Amino acid sequence: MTLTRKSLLISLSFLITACGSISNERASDASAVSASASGAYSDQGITSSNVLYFAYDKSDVNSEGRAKIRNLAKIINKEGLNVRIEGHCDERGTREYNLALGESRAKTVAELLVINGVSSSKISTVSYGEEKPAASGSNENSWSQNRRALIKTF
Amino acid sequence: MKSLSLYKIDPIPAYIVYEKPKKIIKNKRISIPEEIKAELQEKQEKILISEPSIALEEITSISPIPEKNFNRDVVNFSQSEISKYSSIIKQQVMSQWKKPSVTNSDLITEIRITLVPTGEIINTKIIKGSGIKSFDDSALTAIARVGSFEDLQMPSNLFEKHFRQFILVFNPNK
Amino acid sequence: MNALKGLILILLFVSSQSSLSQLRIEITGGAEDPINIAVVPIDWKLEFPQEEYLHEIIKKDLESFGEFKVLPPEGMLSFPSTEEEVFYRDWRLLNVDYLVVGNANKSEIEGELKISYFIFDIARERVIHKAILSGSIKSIRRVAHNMSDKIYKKVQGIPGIFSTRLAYIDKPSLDDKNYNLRISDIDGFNGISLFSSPQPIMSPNWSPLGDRMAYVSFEEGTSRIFIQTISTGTRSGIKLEKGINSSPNWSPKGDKLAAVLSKEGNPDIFLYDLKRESWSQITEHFGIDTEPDWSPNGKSLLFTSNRSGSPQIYQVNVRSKRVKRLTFEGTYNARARYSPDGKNIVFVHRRDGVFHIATQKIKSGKVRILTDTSLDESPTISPNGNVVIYATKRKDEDILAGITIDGKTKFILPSLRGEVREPAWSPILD
Repeated sequence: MTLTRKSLLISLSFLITACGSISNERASDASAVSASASGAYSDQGITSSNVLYFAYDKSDVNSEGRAKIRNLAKIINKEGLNVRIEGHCDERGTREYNLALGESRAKTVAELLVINGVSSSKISTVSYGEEKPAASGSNENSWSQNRRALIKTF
Repeated sequence: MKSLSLYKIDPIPAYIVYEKPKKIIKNKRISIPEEIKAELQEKQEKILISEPSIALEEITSISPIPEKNFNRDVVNFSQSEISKYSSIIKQQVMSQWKKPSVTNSDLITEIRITLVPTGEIINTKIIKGSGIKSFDDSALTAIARVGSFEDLQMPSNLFEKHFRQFILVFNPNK
Repeated sequence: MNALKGLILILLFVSSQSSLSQLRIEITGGAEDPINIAVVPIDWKLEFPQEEYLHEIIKKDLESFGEFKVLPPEGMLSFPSTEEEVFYRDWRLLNVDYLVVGNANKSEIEGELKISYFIFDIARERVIHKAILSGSIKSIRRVAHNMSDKIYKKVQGIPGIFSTRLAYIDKPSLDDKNYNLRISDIDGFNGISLFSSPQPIMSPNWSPLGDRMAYVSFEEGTSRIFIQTISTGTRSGIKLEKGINSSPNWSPKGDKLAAVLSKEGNPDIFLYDLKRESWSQITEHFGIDTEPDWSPNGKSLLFTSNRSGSPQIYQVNVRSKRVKRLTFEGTYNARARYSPDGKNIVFVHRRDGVFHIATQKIKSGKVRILTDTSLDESPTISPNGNVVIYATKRKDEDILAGITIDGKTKFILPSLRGEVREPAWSPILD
């Protein structure tokens, strides 16, 4: 482009911008890359799994549950098993709050095992909140099945 | 041709065309020197100014006289009359105002409107901006969409006093 | 005659300048109708045909939230592509408020195009914006969304969100045994899985610049917070503590994460310093403290606590650690998020056993229920504060739905691959 043409173009663009400037805009590109987990954790080696159920929004164990725990404690101590307690909730309420609620359920069960003579060093607890329901469906039938603690021995 | 000298003349009161004049308030006679009279008499098509009733028709294109030149025994306008036409204006502006999302109850824009008697908006001026350009622009756009107010026929002195120029206060209840 | 006229006019002029107190008419509201906008099909001057039509993408964007009504090409009387070709009267007849006109040319840069466009205010008969927008030919949708943002900002005065993205989680299905953390454009296109795992994923949270994602993964058998760089896929877990490690929430400066740890015996709010890789405690209470959210000014956090007996929303000053309760209506208020201006909160509120999304002006304490759906959770607010997307259920299936903050426009997000939950709105991405 010759010098004169360039300056003509520049002066023309100034004319155009006289009544409001032309802005230069840019649409950027954003890319993303996937990742995955190998699934290192699994339920292998679990010898038994026992369930206790809970009332809505509660983490206290009923008498039926206590009886179960008493019996389990005997077996655990006799066979020197390790215990993993999972706390779960039904889907109602917020997910993170339910994670906390699930933990209090798992912890309550753990405390009862300890009271029944199981060494706390053998017990680990984890909460899954509402993330791993046993039953799908938005009704009390499904919900009652999901409000649970799983006692897994290995 | 002898130049016309400017004599002190009291203007003749006139009314807006579409209203029948109720009365001529001042009945002043205009005295014109002999020379001018002679010249005017030459042009047959010209009507003598000393005849107010005929002159009235001639002055239709001239804008009406401001209120302060009227006799003090003119009627004072009731609040309800002012409210009536204010409501008409308000309704027409509101129906054309599409508030932008940025609108909140803290924003206020004041725009001075100038009309001609037909209701046409001939001038708009922001006298107090909200500080948010898109809010101010939306008010100006609403006024541009109205373009010309309808149903604003009113006594000319009411028009002159309140509605030739007024302020629209855009103050959303959001 | 002329002298007479002249004198009258002088008197008129003088009187109009006088300081009579002028009538003031209050305009307290406007029309509820959407703004009418016409987007003329862009004049395409490149050799190859367009794969997608810019004006169609823009039309869909602008009509998303009930704010605009876009005139389709069938309704147009002419198809201008430059300023000179616009006859305002034509568009005024069609009741159009704003007009967008443009043409697309090849750019000097390889693989790019340049669009020159104008936005016109028809009533005021003027150009309100003109620009040259450049972008990759391969991302024509991105270019269109960018134009939608510019049009939106000019007319509405707040930023458009058409170039933002949404993160969400889908659960295992017949097609896919894994949980996936996905992101897609806000209109549902260009979905990609960021992270895939056979164990649950929770609580995705965008970094302030939109370049990284924090989330909770159960891949190690317990909850742990991970941070992943979006453009590369590289990820790492932050310092694992005993018990719950969850609810990550990025600080406005991007240097810290607020999160929940239960290592002290019960869930409390902690801060993680990303540089020092260390935790510090913010709340200390024997109840459940969870779901932190940083205020836009970085000075305080919202959180959920059951310290009063049931879940309510609280605010804690990060420096002084002073706690103040914010919600007093109802027995379940949780998972609050600040609006971008920091003046309102959006949260989950239970009324008569039904979980809704509600808003509250922080100062007033008055709850306004936003949604009429039920089992609502995980509200996320658009970065311009105008729209809320949340998770809900429809016929027992997890879906995402949305509502404008004034409650007037409701929508359901198009099926995003099966059952989805936990939406997280990205910040405005440059």
